[in-house]
Amino acid sequence: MQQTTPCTPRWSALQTAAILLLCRLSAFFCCPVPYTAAYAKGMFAAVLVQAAMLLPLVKLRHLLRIPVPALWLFRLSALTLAAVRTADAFRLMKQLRCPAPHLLPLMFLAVLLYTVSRPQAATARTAVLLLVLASAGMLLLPVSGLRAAHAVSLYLPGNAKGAFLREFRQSAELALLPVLLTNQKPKEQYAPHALTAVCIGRGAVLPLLVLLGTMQNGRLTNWQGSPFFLLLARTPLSDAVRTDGFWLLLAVGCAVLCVTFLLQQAIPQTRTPALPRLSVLLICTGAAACFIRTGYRGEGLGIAAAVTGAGLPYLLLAVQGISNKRAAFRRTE
Amino acid sequence: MKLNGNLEETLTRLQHMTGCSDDLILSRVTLCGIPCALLTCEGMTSAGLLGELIFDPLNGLQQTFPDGAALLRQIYDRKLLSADSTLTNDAGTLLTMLYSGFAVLLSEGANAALCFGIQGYASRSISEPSGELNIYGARDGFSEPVRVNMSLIRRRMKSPALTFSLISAGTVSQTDLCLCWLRDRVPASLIAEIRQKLQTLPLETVLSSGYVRPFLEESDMQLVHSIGTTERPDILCAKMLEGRVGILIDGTPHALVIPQLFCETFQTMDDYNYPPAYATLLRWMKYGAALLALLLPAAYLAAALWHPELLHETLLSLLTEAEQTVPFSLAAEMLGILFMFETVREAGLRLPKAVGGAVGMIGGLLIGDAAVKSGLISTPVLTVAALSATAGFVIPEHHAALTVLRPLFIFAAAAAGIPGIALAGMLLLYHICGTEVFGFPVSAPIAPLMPRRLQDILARVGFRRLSQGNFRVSEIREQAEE
Repeated sequence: MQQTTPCTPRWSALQTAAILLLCRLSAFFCCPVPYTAAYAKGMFAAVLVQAAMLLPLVKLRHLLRIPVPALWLFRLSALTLAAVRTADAFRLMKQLRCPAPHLLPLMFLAVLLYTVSRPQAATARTAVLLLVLASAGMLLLPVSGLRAAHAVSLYLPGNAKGAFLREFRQSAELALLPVLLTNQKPKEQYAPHALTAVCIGRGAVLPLLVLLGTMQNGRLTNWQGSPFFLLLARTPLSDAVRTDGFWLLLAVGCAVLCVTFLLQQAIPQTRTPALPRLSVLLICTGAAACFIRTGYRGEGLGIAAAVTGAGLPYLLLAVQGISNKRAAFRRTE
Repeated sequence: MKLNGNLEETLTRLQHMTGCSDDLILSRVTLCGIPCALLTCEGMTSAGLLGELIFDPLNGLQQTFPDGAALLRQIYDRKLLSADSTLTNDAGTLLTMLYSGFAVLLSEGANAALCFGIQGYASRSISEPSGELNIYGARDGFSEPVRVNMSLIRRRMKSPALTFSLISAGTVSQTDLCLCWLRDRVPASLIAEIRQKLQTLPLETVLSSGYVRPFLEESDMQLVHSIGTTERPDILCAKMLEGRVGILIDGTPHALVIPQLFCETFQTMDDYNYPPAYATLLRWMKYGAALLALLLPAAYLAAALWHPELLHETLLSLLTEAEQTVPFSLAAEMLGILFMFETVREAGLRLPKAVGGAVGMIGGLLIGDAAVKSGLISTPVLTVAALSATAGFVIPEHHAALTVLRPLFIFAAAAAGIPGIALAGMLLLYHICGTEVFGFPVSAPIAPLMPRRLQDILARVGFRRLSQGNFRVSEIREQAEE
């Protein structure tokens, strides 16, 4: 079987972690489910399970050779996920009653056309920049969020099992982790560092944000859309301007970055990239439109992608091991 | 064309090649019984040096020589007439040197010409750079002659590692470009890359740094320059200490600096003369000013048109009241004011200083007072536009980019509110993060993140800590290429 290692640019630990975290943050922004303590618990449990599934990959990544058909499988899943995320982003804009509902998707696609045409290194660098911005913004959250926080809200009933499954669905980008790990820089510590950062970000920071959001539940009356935007209602220093706008900026930014990253993973590296780029973008848009029309949120798809992403490398390694043994046996015969 | 030993034929050929140009001065003289000719170019040589260093010693020659070649060889080998003298047998090189301010001595029977460097053309004296003023730093700026600029750098860096390399560019103008770098801090491969690009410039003439820069940058469409310019020798020296390469261009007081990182455009020489705390505050003020200059008009439009819930009731009612009497839409109002502002600025810039100031004042009064009173524009819009424009002056390096980007952001905000701004912002971020020059990403040291290098970006730490790091810009390239 023809085997290959993707020839995409190598990324540092921070760049890989930033991309994966922002993809998760993008899904987090788009999630319209109210926050509860059980939600945070479910998220945390899901991250633990995912970490247990993925951490051995770090050890085995040197042995992993991704065959061409599997690479196409990864590309296909990246394309599907891009469509799901595009649909999610449009839904978020609709939920937030964003202006110009017909113009905005066109603008979104025009921006995607440009960002997808930039080198993959630009995506990685933009991810780091956005992560720095997001982290700076999140430093403000406790300051303003705790003013209106009520610990009693933590005792509201919730569904931890649903949150566990939702976390799997929303972390479908992890399906691309085997491909990303083979793109890691040749320094030994980069891959574990990347995965550790992702696990800490998703397992510790996001559940804490959910808890903080849960404590704001008293302010969720008559609110449509992501409850995340209520975490920061007013700036700590002034009542004149609300800072929700910053999070809306970040949400759209994360969505663009996430879809760009997925589309760039889906595009085969050819000498004439313009045509594949355009066709992939059109397919993604068409699929997103279908998802919006049918109301499909990619529930099963996300879970399948996450499980495949974690399971496929082990399957590949097993197949590789068997074929190597067979070859050795033939040679001895 | 090679020179032959026939003096008359050589002179005829040279006159033919120059079209009998009137600035070519030919002095025929007989030295030690051999007919000779001294060629100079009008206004390019120093008359005093010519008399002292060339005429007097040559007139004092008493020996006899078998032919002109022996005479020139004797002068070249034994007489120190000029520190910069050379022999050439090519007519093209001879003319280039002649027009660069050399005096050329031809002799009967010699198939080579002796060139003496006695340049003495008139040039602007060294003065304070008008575009990069500072309070505590040096007051001398680059001038037009490249050799004067080389001396300004050498005076500040007496290290033998400082290297200058002259390259001729422009097929017609043959302009001198001078690469300068510190050998122990810049990889030879980078110098070779830059030299190769400069040597193959497809230009007929190089009249300013703007002619060269696009050929060194990756794309013509760059809004953020990856190659910087400076008028200050102290800044160029500081940049070279970090392992950057400078390019001096004859005839222009601006030096190019390769590479320029985006973050550095917020730094000035004065930052390093102020106390660190104050310099840090100033730096953050500049970051804030950049955001204001770019986003304030767009954010105002987005909030007023599409997201009034982001504003407090009192502020919102103030804005509504002000806008009620204005006949134009908010977007048209904002774009109109910014257009007027740019027009007034451009008019003031190109006129003589005395008139330019008056134009600025009249324009300011017109827009600021008369337009508001007549009800054509509202006070909040004027305030926002003026704030944005003033904030833009804090970072003059980005004026061109801001002028292009402001309308883009305004259109995006008017069309789609905050999501529109976010989309335009992502375009800009991708543009900046995707820009590289010779393998240096301009978004460094934030992306790729180099935490140790943020001490001169997020804050301006003291010199004790800054000097510990010994930052070399090559680290960025290594990290990007790893």
